[in-house]
Amino acid sequence: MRLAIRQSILLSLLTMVAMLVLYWLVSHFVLVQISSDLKYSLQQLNRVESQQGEKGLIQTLDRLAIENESRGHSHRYYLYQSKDNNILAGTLRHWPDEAKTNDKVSNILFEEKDLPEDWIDMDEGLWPTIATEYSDGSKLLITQSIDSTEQLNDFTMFMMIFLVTAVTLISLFLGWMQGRTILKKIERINNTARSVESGELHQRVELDTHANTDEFDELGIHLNRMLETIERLMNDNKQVSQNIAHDLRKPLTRVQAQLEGLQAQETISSEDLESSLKELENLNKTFNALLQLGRLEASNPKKNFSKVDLSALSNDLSFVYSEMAGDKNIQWQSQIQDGIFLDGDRQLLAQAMINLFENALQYTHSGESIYFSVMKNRGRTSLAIENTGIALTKEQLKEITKPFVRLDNARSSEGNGLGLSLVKAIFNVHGSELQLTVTNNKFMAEAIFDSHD
Amino acid sequence: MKILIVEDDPTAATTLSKSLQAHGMTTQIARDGEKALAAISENNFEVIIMDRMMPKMDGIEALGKIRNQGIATPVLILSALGEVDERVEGLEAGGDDYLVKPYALSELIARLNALYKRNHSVQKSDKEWMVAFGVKLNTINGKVFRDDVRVQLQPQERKLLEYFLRHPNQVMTRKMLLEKVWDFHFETDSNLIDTQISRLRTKLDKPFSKALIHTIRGKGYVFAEDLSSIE
Repeated sequence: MRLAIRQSILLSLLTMVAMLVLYWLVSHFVLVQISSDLKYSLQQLNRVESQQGEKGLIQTLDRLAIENESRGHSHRYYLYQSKDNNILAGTLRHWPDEAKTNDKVSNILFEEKDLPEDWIDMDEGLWPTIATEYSDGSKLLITQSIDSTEQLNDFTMFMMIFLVTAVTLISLFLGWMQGRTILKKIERINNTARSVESGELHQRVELDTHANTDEFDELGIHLNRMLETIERLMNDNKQVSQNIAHDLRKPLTRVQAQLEGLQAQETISSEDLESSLKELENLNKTFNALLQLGRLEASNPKKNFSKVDLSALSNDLSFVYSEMAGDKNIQWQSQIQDGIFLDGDRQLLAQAMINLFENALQYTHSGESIYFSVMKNRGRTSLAIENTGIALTKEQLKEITKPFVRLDNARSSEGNGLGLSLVKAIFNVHGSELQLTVTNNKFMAEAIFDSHD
Repeated sequence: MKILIVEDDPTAATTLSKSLQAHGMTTQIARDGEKALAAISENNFEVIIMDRMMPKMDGIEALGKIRNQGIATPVLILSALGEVDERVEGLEAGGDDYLVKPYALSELIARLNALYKRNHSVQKSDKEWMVAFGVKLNTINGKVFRDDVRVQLQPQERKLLEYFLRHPNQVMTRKMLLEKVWDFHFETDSNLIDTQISRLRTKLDKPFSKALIHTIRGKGYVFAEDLSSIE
């Protein structure tokens, strides 16, 4: 509301200034107009004097006086005086002392005594006046009452006051209205903020869908989007925590049962302990992977970046994996372009590739094939692994990069469900994305990198 | 083998000490860097196990002081940190090997043995040829012979053999081989090493009467003529 008042005062002041300028311009314009009228009249009368002499001028002035009279409301007055100050023609009774015969318009004070007797209801005042002296010593004076000008000025002044008042009132009203809507919108945002603060993360800012959107609606939309992201992340986090608890409790329970079993035994051999140790080892691996994932997401591993010979690394790994594939009767095809370098971390890139290879080997059936390629095109390097034997829905594709998410048929096999999460994080660190696609029963994992030149 | 364990956690230190003693090693425990320096000046150790994170003087600082005193005893750094640059930092400070906690005991013992033997084995091979048990590897042109028969190896397989030739009769864990042959310092369930070993065997062992590459169950691999000498 204070804002509205301030704005309306400012607006009123601006209107007032504008009106004052207008007022000055109007009165100035009128005066200029009068002056040029007076000059024009004088020129015409001068011509009459030079052509028809004193007589002609007297006749013209008398006629003008009658015309003025017949108009009933004369605004122009004349005075024609002889050299010895005898009034020859005109309606004025007296030659004002200040009136100079210099052919220039100047404001002269006319008092009641100067004016015609029958028009004394006229206001006296400063009127624009022009006067001249002829060769025979006679003098002519023309003046115009600014009565109508004053009326115009009065009207302008009235309009000005009216407009300024109207503008002030309207702007105050509009400001109040606007303030009310804005306050309402801010209040909504505040309410949502309070709800979210008290833990209701699902709350959203109420938005006017019908109204034209302003900045506050936009703020609301942004806040809602932000809340959605936060809620999603929180849920993901919750899911991960639950998955951790779930995935870790099972092996821990098994180890506990095994150890309790051994406690009852009299002698314990190292073989007895083997399965418990294996369980614990896997638990540790899971924790290590989780820690690594956390580090990759939180810190800046780029400090370990150097020029990595991706072609050499790919060739070395591809060779061994082709043999592993061969052992499982899987055909391994590879296409690796030479001389591709990346600005990256060799350890991480190798880890990511191994994870992808292991995945491919795990899901590809005997007799099918895996295709691995590292290619450079227009300064961008593509690393892709394609394999058959895995049918995933789009939903599943989105899910499988999340920690601990495993496909049902992989639950029974080894692994902790962090492999693809790690690959994703590693590629992200390298400024790339892990893109997973399924087409015609072919699963493809691809990442595009900016190559090191 | 006489080992100094520098570790601030008493439980971890005594557990480790007992485990190593069970494997026939002699151990002494120092609770921090300063005590380690004192122990080293009094006794001769063959390997030092140094914890990375310790109060007072951390592992890296203590290691620096040990090396400054001209003591060349091999040092294995134990760390709960696993970032690559931490490892590099440890090795640059004068560490000889780096193992991230948690680790398997067999892994630690294999590494301790490797460090011990590295200091005690006499270099039999000359610069050009690496030789062991009738296997010869030319370090210049990469040619490999067994009993003077040429054996064709892939580059990574040759690297593996080279490492075996450097460390005959020593148990090598998968992790050690991944580190030495591939320079991979991360945890993986990959059968990378096993596959390579299997290929190396096909080429180096199968055509000949006596196998040289042996699997030690639960521990790793060993390159040896006679397994009875391996503990």
